[in-house]
Amino acid sequence: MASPAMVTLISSDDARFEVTEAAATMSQTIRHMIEDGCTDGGIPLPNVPARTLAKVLEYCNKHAAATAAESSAAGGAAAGSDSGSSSSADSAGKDDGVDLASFDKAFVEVDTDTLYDLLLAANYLDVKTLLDLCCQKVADMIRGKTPEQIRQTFGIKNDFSPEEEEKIRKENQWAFE
Amino acid sequence: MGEWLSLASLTFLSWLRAGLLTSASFGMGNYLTGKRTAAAPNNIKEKTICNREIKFEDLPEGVQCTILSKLPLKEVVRTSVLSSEWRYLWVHCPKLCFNSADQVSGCKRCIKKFIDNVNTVLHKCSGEVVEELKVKFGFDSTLADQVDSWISFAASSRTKVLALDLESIDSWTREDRYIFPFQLLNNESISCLQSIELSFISLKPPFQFRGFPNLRKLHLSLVHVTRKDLQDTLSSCCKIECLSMDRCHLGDELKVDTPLFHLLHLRIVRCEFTKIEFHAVNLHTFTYRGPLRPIVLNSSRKLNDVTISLYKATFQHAFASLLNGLPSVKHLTFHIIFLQMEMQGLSNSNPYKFSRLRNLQLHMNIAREDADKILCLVSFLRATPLIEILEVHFGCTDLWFADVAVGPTRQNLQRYEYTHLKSMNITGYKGARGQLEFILHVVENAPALEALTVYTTRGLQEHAGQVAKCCLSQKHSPTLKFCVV
Repeated sequence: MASPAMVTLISSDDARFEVTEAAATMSQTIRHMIEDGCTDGGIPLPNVPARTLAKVLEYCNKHAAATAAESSAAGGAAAGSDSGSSSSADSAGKDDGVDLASFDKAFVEVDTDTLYDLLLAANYLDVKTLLDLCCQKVADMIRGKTPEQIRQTFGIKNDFSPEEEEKIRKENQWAFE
Repeated sequence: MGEWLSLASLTFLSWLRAGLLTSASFGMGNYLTGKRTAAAPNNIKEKTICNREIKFEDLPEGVQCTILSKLPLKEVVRTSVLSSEWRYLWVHCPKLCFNSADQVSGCKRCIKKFIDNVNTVLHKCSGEVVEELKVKFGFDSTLADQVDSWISFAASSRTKVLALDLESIDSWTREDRYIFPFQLLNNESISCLQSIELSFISLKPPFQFRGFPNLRKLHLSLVHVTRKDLQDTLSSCCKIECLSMDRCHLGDELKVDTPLFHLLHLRIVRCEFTKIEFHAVNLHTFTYRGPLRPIVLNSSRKLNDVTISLYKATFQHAFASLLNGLPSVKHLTFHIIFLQMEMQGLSNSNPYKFSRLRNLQLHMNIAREDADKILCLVSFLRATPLIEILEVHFGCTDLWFADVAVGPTRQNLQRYEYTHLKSMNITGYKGARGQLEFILHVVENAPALEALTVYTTRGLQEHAGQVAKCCLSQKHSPTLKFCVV
């Protein structure tokens, strides 16, 4: 089996990361750079510091590997017999799904700063599923909380006077009922 | 972008300060092939600045919108009270979803209040791009102007997803449906629309309506529309991928001659059509629930999953109808609620086949008087030359152990091999003779069968199970995984 194509990514602080092309191209931004032939000497990512890039790549490596495993399992089943619904392929896919879901869940169990760093990096690198995962996490951190709890979670300083706050509540009263 | 850069570098400095920048702490194992060569942690002032963390308010607007769009609108609006920076953040939320049931009860005054709430929010969001506008409340005709104004809002907000559910608890007795205001949409707003869901509405497209050029998804429920209007509208939605209709009673045939190349999913439930015909070569799934009617999807050669649930039908008629209209299905689930059987179909006479069918699920509610005809199921099986997985769920309430001594036996059947059949699953087995004959027939004619599971019904396990075990133990091959539960 041929070794997979590798690319080098360079973080904003000049750390170099060598990753498979499959993992790197989960980022649409990087995919476009590769397509444009801008890979010589590594791909500079001036907006992403090493710590965040490492984390993003952990995500991409995991997901790219799972995608590869899934397609090879499906391909193997199709080649092995003409049965479109090989149970082994199905169950392998399912296991990966469960595995990935728990990986994702654990992946965003981080402090708010790290989460924001990931959001910014996922947005810049255009890794759609990661961006969505992080957005969902932030939304879950807001969901079901009182305004005071949300302020605490996100370190928001309430700069309204009690009168102002009351006025805003009145404006959108239905939302506070 | 400039701000992004500075924020990124600030964060970078913040962990630099925390002493995290050592190759070991990257936790990257073999991914890390080089070490930091530049970046100097020398400026103490910068270190103090970097205590400023990134805040929600600093995230790009697109990211904020995505986050907010994952929350119920109520919670989104509540964020206005957090701080002055948050006060108007929520108006950029691209999804506005109003459901009167979440806000008020159904009384007249409450509906008025609901409408006021909607209007307040829409007023605040005017001028923004609102990708999704969904409203659900019990409509009556006095409120038509209100709904018109919301459609106008959607038109000016470049809405992509529009959902109007105006069904109320007494909708089924009422005729005063809201008439969809095509006149409020111009070419631009029509081309923005990618998904439309309408419930309890009357559709009367204007003369020579050119359709929704970018519509991917259309769901119509309790919609009044004429055959011609519906056919014309569907014919002109050339990018449609997903079409669903629920309780739309045409009382006429629905025949769309224009090829719908993008149509992948079609769902028609509880509708009164006399015939259904589509030319959708890429159709992937089809769901139908309703009376037995001719369904013509012959050109759909990639049909993967089909679920058919008929109210009342004779097994042989329904089977022939499917064979004519859906010959290319791969996985079929077939259910007749009030099932009748006829004594025929034991020969190999039918030249038509389900040429791609691999997986068949039959739900058979066999009545006691039809107990002697269970073996007729083989007619279906014989039209499936590639079948691999067969599931038969007997839902026979009054069928009984060793019922009926008359009826054909498997010896009456012509020889036929189910060459590809690997797995058979029977539920609702009650030891009726027809059931047993059917199972034995399959076992005797499926040389590749790997697994057979027979589920008996509660209370009958012992007798029925023993009979099945006893008969089958002599028949099946030693490699077969055989199980009576």
